[in-house]
Amino acid sequence: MTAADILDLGRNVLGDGLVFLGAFATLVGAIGLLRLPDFYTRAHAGGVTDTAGAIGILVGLAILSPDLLTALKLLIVLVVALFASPTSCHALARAAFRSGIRPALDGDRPPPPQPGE
Amino acid sequence: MIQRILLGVAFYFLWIGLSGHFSPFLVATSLISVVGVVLLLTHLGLVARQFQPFSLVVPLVIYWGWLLVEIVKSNIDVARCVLGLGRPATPSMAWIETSQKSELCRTLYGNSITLTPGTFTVLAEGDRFLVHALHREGIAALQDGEMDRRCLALDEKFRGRIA
Repeated sequence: MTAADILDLGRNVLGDGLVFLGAFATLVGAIGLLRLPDFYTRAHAGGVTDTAGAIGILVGLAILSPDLLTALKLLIVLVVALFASPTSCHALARAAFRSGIRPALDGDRPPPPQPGE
Repeated sequence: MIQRILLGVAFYFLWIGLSGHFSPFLVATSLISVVGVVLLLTHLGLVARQFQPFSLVVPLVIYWGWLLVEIVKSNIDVARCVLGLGRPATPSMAWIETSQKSELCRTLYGNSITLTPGTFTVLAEGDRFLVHALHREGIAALQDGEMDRRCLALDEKFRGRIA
């Protein structure tokens, strides 16, 4: 085995491992979406898919990609996704809170009131 | 002017990275399109420091490195909670004070809170965020203020260039 072969093997193992971890995180996010009790806790499960799932799969694919330009494009997709997903998550939570969905909190405490009231 | 040149260079590298064409004709026409886009953005009034904070690029990449570690740590926490291996969920909600002065860095802080699983920003009113956390410790960690301090350092660097 030459040095290039070993490098290639290492790259494949690392890339496959990251894609596997990303797929697993996405699965955990999907399970959480079904298992957790209310809207707000379910949004946390969505966060796992948005971050660990996207980072694992896209960085893994960038490592596995045959040339540098494809890897660069995948990383641009990752950066855009990491800017867009918290914004959409916040918009969703804000819309839910504004339309009167109140979270079930630990120990049945009420959610804190508006700062102005 | 420097802002426009930097923006043009960034657009040009983006164009090269996305196209992968290096023939002289295409490189020349891409130059024309980059100049056109920068002129259009100037006309729309979208060339400003708060839209393209070039002075923050290096500190921001360092911050992203720290944020990535936090994301991995909190992902493991939430995944254990979902799979029933860790502590059961203790959802809690609280108002968090933010100390950043600029809108840009406050947005960065709010997005960072949402990006780490286990905590997300529900409302952003003035200089306070209403944060929901899957575990009570999530709120305590935010009130402890490590992330707030790091965003504040970026904020001071950003505003220091104006004064």
